[in-house]
Parts: sequence; C-alpha cells; structure tokens
Amino acid sequence: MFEGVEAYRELLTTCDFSPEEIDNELPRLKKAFDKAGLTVEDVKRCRERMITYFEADTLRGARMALGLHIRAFVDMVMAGEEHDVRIYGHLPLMAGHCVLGAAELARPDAYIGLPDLICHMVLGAFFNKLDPLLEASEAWCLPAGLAHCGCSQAKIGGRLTDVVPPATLHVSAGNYCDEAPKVDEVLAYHFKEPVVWCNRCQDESFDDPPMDDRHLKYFSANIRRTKDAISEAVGAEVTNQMIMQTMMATEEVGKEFKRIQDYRAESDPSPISVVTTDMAAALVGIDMTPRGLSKVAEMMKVLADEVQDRVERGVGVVPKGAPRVMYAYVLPFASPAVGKAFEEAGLNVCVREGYGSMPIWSRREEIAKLDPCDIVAGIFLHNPTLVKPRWRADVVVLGYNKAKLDGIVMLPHYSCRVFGTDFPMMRDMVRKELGDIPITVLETDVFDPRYYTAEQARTRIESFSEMVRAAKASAA
Amino acid sequence: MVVAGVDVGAATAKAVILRDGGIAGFAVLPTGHDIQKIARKVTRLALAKAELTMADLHYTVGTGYGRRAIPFADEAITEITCHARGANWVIPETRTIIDIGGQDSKAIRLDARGNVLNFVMNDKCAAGTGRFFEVMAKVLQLPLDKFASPELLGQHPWKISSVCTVFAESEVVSLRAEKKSREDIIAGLYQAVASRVGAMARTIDYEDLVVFTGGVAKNKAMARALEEEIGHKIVCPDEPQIMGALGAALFALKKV
Ligand code: SF4
Repeated sequence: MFEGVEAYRELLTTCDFSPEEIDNELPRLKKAFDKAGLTVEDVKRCRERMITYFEADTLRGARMALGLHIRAFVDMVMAGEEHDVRIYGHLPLMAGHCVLGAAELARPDAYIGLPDLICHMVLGAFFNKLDPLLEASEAWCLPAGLAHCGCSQAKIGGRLTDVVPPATLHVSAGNYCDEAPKVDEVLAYHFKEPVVWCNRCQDESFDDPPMDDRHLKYFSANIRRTKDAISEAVGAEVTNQMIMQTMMATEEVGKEFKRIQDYRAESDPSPISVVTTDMAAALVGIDMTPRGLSKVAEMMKVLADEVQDRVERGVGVVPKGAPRVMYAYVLPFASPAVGKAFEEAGLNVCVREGYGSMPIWSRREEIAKLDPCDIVAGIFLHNPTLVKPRWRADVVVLGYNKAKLDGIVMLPHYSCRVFGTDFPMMRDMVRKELGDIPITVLETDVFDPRYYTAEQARTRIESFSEMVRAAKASAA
Repeated sequence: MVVAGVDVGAATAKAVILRDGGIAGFAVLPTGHDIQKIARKVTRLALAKAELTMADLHYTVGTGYGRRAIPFADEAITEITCHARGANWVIPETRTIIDIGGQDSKAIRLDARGNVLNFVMNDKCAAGTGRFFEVMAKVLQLPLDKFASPELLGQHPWKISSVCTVFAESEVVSLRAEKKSREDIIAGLYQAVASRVGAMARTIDYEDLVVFTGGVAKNKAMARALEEEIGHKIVCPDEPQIMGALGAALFALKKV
C-alpha cells in the first residue's frame, strides 16, 4: 500500500464506496490522482470540503453523488489506458448530450465523457485545484486578460496537462455561445484531434423565439452531422432509437430531480442546501450515457427520499421563514463557498432560473412523433434559459411569482460572453415587470476561482440579505 | 441611552456615539493591522469626547470589512446598509450614495426611509478608491491634502487611459517625463476616477439627491470631477467619513 492510504479510504467512504469497492478502486484512484497532481493533503482537504459544503455527513444521496463525480474523474483520467475510443463533449454542450450519450449504446467499450465539467467539479469544486489547468492554458495560448472564459481555459489546460487523455473525437457546440467553437480550434490545431461542431444559427431577431423552420432545420441538420461524426469515430452507427433511449434515461433522472426542486420550492424551512442540489444536478451533464444515467437516477431517488424525510421532520438548512430567493445562473462549479455564503447570510435559495417553466416531458406526446434530432433541436430552441435574455427574463418573472419569492440573485461570471450581457438586460426586463424588487447581480466566476473568493463576495451577499429583509419588512 | 456604531474599514476605523438620539461624539483613526485593538481604541476615543466610557454603552453595532472581528459589538451589519441609514438620517432627501473609501467604492440607491433598493460595489480593484489617490500623490510628490485641493486642478486634463492603478502610475510617470503640467495630469486623474465610479453608479440608475460619502468625499477636487461626470449635483455631508458608523449607531439605537 502507499503512504496516506487511510486518507484515500476515508475519502472514498465519504463518497459512499463500500469496503470492497474501496479495495478494488483504490489502485486506479491513486494512479489517477497522482496523474492529476493530487496529493494526500489535497485528499484530506477535499474530504473536509465535501462535509463542509455538500452535506456528506448527513445525506447518503449526497455521498452517492460525490462518489459518482469521483468515479467519473478517475474514469476520465484513466481513459487513455483503458479505452481505445474516447469521445468528449465540451461545455457548453447543451443540445448534444443525448446524441453523445447514445454513442455508448453503439460502442459499449468506448469512453464517453464531458471532461470540462468533470474537471470543474472535481478539481474545482471539490479539490480547489483547478489553477494548474488554467495556468497551463494561459501559458500556452489563452493568456489571462485575453478575455477567454475559465470554462474554455480549463478545457485546453486539461489536455495540455494530460489530465484529460487524447480524444478520438471532440464534440463542441456553437449553439449557446461562440467562445467554445473558437477555442476548440486549439484542440484541432495543437493536438491534431478531430472536432465536430454542433452549431445553431444565432441570427434570430432579439424578440422572436428562434423556432421558425429555418432555425430548426439548420440546427437539427447539425445535430445529425454530429451524430454521423460520432458514428464514424466509434465505428458503429448511433441510431435514432439509441438517441431516444438516452433521452428516456435523462427523463428518469429529471423526474427525481424535479421532486427535489419542488420540495425546495414549497417547503419551509428549505430541506437541502442549494450547494448540494447543484452538485447532484451537475451529474446529469457528466454521466450522460444510459448506463451512467441509471446510476444518477438511483442516486437522485435516494436524495429525493431523504429530502422528503427532512420535509416531514421539519429539518432545514436555513431557519424557517428565511427570505426566499432565486438563483439565475449556471452551476457555480469553482466555489461551493458562494452558495453557502448565501445560506449563511440567512437566505433560502429555494428555486433556480427555469422554475415554473414547462418540463420537457409534458410535451412527450407531441414530440414522440418527430425525428430525435429534430426533438433535440426543438427542446433546445424551446428552452428559454438557454436561448434569449427576453425569454429568460419571462421565465424568471414566472418563477418569481409562482414561488412567491422575496428576491433574485443573478450570478454572471467573469469573461463569459453570454452571461456578461444577458444579466444586465434581464435585470432591467425583470424590474420592468416586477418593479423595484431586490435583485443583485453578483459578479463572480463560476469557473475560475482566482477571480473571486466567497469572502470577498460576503459583504455583497450580506448586504443583499439585509436589503431583502428590509423590503420584506416594509411590505408586511 | 448610549449606543455606538463602529465602522472598521480597510483604511480607517470610525466610531459614533449616540446619546439620547443625538451624536455625542465620534472619532476616526487609521485601521492598522489589529482590528480588535483599533475598534476598542476608536470607540474609547469617541466615548471620551462625550465624557463616557465603555461601561456606559448599551448596544453596539459593528460594520465595515472588520465588522465580525469587533469583540464588544452586539451585532454586525454591512456597511452598505449602514451607509444608507446614516446618510438618510443626516440628509433625508438622499436617494443615491456614492461612497469612495480607502480600498473600495460603492454606489447605493435608497428609499425615503433609508432602506437600500440597489447597490453596486467595487472591491476588486484599487482604481476608483482612495488608494489610487495615495499612489498618484506619491508619484507626483505631493502631500495628499495638496493633491486634493481644487486649486491644483489644471484647465486641460490629460486623458489617463488606464483603468488600473499600476498602469496609471506608469502613465503618469511617462507624462511627467514628457514634461506635461502636473496640474493637468492631476485633473486627468480625477476625471479617470470619476468616469470609473460614474460608470459603476450608472448601473444602479442613480437619482437625485446624490450624496458623496467616505474618506475621499473630503476631497473637493474629486467631488467636482464626479459632479461633472454624472451631471447631477452632489452633496457632501460635513463628516462624510462617519456615515457608516453613524448608520450602525442608528441601528443600535433601534435595539435598545
Ligand atoms: S463564454 Fe460563457 S457560455 Fe461561452 S463557454 Fe465560456 S462560460 Fe460558457
């Protein structure tokens, strides 16, 4: 055995590994951690963070989720040795998940993963050790100040440091922002690894939803092209049937996750931390293959049952009656301390952007008749959170009213081309609808922890909390 | 009834003592490295001016970045909320506060009761804070009080293009090397800070009456530059530095 083995064992126990699983997995895990430069001290700190931020000491579902993240990380780092074919999706992948996940059904021995998200969660949120990846990419081609987002920097850094092994195919998406496909050219140029771009045209007018035929056709044609490229890379056809099967597997996870979201929105006190919830939710993007999704669904069910139990016992993570606020954001990968700081300031972050909008499966009948690539395109183009500030603002207003909230927190992140501009517009639009309600736009960086600390943000978070309380008291 | 508000900021510590609803004493001291010690010292000093001691205090509210480290405070409230309350008490018509402190700057919009409606804060970068002026005064070899005097403002401000303190410093050094007038450089520096702070304040849709607080508000040249930048009249309270501590003391008063 190796030095510090107990710390590794403790970490895996905290991640709900059984003693046999620990014995089996330990050599692989050690190898992967060594490759990523994670030391025994890091392992100890990581375990502490899991308990401090992710309720690992009280929720088995949280431990299972943490375990799935750690497994995903080890699988990714070891994929170079263990799999001949490796297909990577890249953030912001958005519409491509189901197509990518379906590749596992065509080629079960292929590695399918989303390394960016895995690195951000495990190296960023759990280990607080994303800096080497960010710095590697800055040293090579994306210097700090060049206004590339931390998301893209970590992606290139992952490959440069070999934490992420070479890919058979990268799937990049230009359907949400233009940063990703631009930066992913580096993958093609420097690493000589093929990239397929799954794009949508972004030339829709500002006010209209991009649901006309032209947008739908263009996007679904790109998804089809992506499907063909993946089929070629894995050497077997990814069929429509496989995509549908993957979509169904996602739906199962979505149902359990919705239970958690509803408990959070409807219960007082709030039964689970927003930080834990987000960590579990990130797995939908990470384990996107049907096999992976079935494990995520199992975890989500355990977590939802525990949350239900807390609701029944009146157990909460913030005091009863705490002001209720919405998060508008993407998942804060780099620092769980920010979410925690909101709760420490006495706020109940009970819903996230998108709450109250129609879940995808409620249109199941209507979409089941379509070609899966059209469905994937349609779902994306129908999802206001992912498309336009005008729609996003409408959905925020809807969620605010439905959940009877006291305030809204917008978390844009440094150097993000989409969020940097969306939020000021959205704040304006929401204010026009709802009046002078408490809204804060808290600049952080969900990907790069070097640009902020929760401590630095604390005064703003506490001031916002005081502002929400004062507004609530005045309204009473 | 005696209460205190203690504001420990990055550069200065301030204390205000209220007795029977009126200001009985206040004090301002440099913060230094020991928050607990300076908090006690500045409070004692303010109390002494009112011929009182720590034993007379019924309730204390701490604010400022060191708010949680004040050992004798009964409660901590952020400086944003406290500034709003303090400014509202001194000038009830206040609807916007622009506060420039030693190491941060903020803009706060408030309602008629002194409740915060919106705020924005720059605590990431020294440009647009008191620290910027300290650095520039040093580069131009002027004492800070001279640097702050409107008489030293040139008529033809040099545009300082950098928004970063470090780069602005190099820019000023180059301008001096080119024998540009010191007065015009100073005027340019004020414009640069005013435009930075003005841009920040615009994000909260400031409205009249705009009140300028914080240590830098004592700097008349800055007040003038800011007024020109935002196109609104700016009012400076007599003691702009103690608004946070005063607000904290007013919150303390509500508790007794
Ligand atoms: S610019 Fe924003 S949306 Fe685009 S990849 Fe970066 S973080 Fe994601």
